[in-house]
Amino acid sequence: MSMEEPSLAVRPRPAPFFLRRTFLRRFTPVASLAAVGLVALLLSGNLLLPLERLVTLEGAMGTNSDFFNDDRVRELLFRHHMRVQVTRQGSRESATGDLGSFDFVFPSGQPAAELVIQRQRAEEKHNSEYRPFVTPIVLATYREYAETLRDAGVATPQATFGFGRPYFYDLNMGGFLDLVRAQKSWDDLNGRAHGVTNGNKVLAQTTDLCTSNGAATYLGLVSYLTHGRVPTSEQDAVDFATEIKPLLRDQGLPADAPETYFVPEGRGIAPIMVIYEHQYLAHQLRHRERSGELDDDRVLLYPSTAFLTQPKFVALNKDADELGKLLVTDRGLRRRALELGFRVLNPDAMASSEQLSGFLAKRRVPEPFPATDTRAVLPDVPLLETMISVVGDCPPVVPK
Amino acid sequence: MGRLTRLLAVLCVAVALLPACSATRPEPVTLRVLASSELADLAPVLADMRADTGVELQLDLRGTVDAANALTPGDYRHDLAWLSSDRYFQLKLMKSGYTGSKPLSTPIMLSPVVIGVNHATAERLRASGPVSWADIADRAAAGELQFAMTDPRRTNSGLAALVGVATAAAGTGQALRPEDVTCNRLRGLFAGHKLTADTSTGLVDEFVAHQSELDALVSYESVLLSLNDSGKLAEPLEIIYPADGIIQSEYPLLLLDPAKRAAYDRVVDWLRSEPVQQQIMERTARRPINPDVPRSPQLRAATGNALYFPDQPKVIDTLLANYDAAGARPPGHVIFLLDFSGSMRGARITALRTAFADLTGTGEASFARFYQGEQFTIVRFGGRVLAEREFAADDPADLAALRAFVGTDSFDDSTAVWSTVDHAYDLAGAITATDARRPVSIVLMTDGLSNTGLTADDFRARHRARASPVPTFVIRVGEADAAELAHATTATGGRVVDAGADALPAAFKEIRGCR
Repeated sequence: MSMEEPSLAVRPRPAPFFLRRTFLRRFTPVASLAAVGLVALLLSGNLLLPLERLVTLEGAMGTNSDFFNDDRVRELLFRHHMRVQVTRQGSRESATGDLGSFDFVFPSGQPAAELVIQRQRAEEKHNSEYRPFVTPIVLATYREYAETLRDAGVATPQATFGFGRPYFYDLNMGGFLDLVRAQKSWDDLNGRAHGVTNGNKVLAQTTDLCTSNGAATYLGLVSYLTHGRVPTSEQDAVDFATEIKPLLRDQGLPADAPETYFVPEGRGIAPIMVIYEHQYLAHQLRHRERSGELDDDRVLLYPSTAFLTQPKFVALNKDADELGKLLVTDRGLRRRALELGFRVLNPDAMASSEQLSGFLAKRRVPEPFPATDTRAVLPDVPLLETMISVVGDCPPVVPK
Repeated sequence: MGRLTRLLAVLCVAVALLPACSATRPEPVTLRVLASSELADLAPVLADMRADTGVELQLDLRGTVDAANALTPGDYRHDLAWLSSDRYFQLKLMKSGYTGSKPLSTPIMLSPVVIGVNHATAERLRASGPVSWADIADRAAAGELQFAMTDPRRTNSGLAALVGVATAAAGTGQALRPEDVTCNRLRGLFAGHKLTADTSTGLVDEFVAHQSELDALVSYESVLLSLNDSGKLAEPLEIIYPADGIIQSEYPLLLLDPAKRAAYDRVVDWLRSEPVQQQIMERTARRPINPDVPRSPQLRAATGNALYFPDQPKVIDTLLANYDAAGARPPGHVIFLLDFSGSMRGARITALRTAFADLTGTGEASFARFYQGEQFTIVRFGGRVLAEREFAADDPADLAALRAFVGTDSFDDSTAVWSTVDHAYDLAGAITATDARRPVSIVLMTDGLSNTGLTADDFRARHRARASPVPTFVIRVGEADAAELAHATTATGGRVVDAGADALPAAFKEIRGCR
């Protein structure tokens, strides 16, 4: 955390005499006082802002850094005398790297957040958590690939009333993993019927397992579906991980970034990518706003067995606590989270999908329905860590 | 935040004496950047960056693989690295057993490694449908396509192409595993590799100088498009996005010195903003990572599917070692021993002839095709050698004669496997005596039990006495004795591949490039 004067982007111009250094050195204190008085007399409320101290908070974030990089969010925070500087990192990386320079961490899911909390507790340092919004992981794909999976009997379109074509499919995860295990290529499936020519094996690509929460969550899901339960011992975790390793490693080096899903070249880079739902919804909302149309090419596969990932904001000091409180209470920020595709939580921390539902309907963006009947469970953090290390050949995480 | 800024600006003007309102552009910063050589074309963009953000990037340009080799965790000599791809760097970290956190990495733009070919070659390649790397390898092996490509030991474009074609050649649809690269299936393709350089920019200059002698250039799409626009080519290159896959480059910007994070964030935000991405696209023909920037007409083509990139350092090491060895050794001489006993009649002999049609270039395009400079001895045998003859891959008439030789319908009643293999070692000895540098290998295809002539034990004893380095590979069909074949041939350094009649062409391809 640092305190500084608000910095304003004003183009430099030749300084008039009254701004030259010698003049200012003598005259500024007096003039400032006068000016403060003047402004205070003339203006009130928010306009006093530039005269107050601005708190700059540094945060390590997962994919939800989109939130703080948003211009509107920056503006809203500025009104509360806050400026947030985020470094985008994989969640687990944020959680396991050096925390010294950060005021808060905001990993995309629980396991990484819990690791941070454990570390802070172990060192008897400040930690408090806030849960402003949630968003599930999804398998993002393209219409022709989803239809190919539908022909293969593992994807079923969700009913989206009022929209001609499906944008969301329920994915029978067990059936999908069978295809991956059988090493079927897209050409082996009936891809050609939908214009797909692709000799690559069917699989869902992820970003780096060692550094990304989305990838770790997908690992947890694959393991849960393969074994029907979470591991309960270290040996269990190693065995489970060893068994599912090929399903997650056949992709070779991990995908660079989930955002390549949205570029026009995306389907050639990875036909199925594990991303967060909010990234897709934000994309469709923006697409609708910019062009009046929906992006007709991109669709989501919702695993029949699902986790709800819960990004947790973990404040590492009191200033960050103020930000955490704002995130769960400020109407403007909560509204903006909705616009960015998040499922905003009520203060009692239960998902409030009616809010998202109404919001999407107003913008004429179809509403997806994640599976609610079968919920997978993530193993405890240490066991998940073991599994990540085994599957990803990552260096194990030792809480410092 | 635009509205607020304006508001504050107004306020500043109104109360011009406020110290807070003195212009506070961010501190000018200079960052030293280890960069891939082809990023030299960003100079004008970087000048704008300096004006807009106050950050100056000083590029230290190298081939990407050289650059990655110069990056050692804990001993970075630069603030940032900007590579066309950080895959090789990631593999290097893995190999070194590094356990610290990896540098923050953000992709900035895209360009696939593809191939540009002249019009006549493009026409010929396209005649049989979508063009694959296999088609290109096939034409290169036939001596009809000569191309330029950078050194894969030093540059990303060369390494990406090498990995891409090796993945396509393995045809597994997966990332390459060590067992997929035990044999070098790329010799045919590299028979057409006539020009190389240490950097992709250096290669372009060389290609321009030798354009009349070459048919194709393997490089980034952006390099090919820029070259076409440069007016330096007598005839523009047509870009082919091979149907069996490409390797995408994502140009990640890596933060090496965490203390420079603020400047790094500023640079990344600026580079990924819409107007800058637009400018990058217009100036360098790279594809924006920002999805909101509409692609210019020349970038609307689909890039094809990216191949999975191997995550085992050993795979890359083997590919590079094969590449090295291929450069150092002349094309080989292969002695094919083909079983023409009666049981080969029908489906089996048809499959054998299909295999040789593919290998000699009249069948399906193939990485396994006989390539320029290679020589062959074909031996048809039954209870004795029925016929034998030498052929050269350079001469199309010779290859036609080879097909006719294999097409002969004359079968014998018995099978003398080991006498024939022993005879092949006499032939190999004679070849080595006239040309000691030429690698020789023997490929035996048989479907039956040896029932006359030398026994396997006799052969092994005689082979030991010869101490020949020539390996014998076996394609085993039908009833042939697997244990006996394996026992005798592994001693020569070869191995056995099992094949049903329908898999015979695939088995011949699998054995190609093995030594």
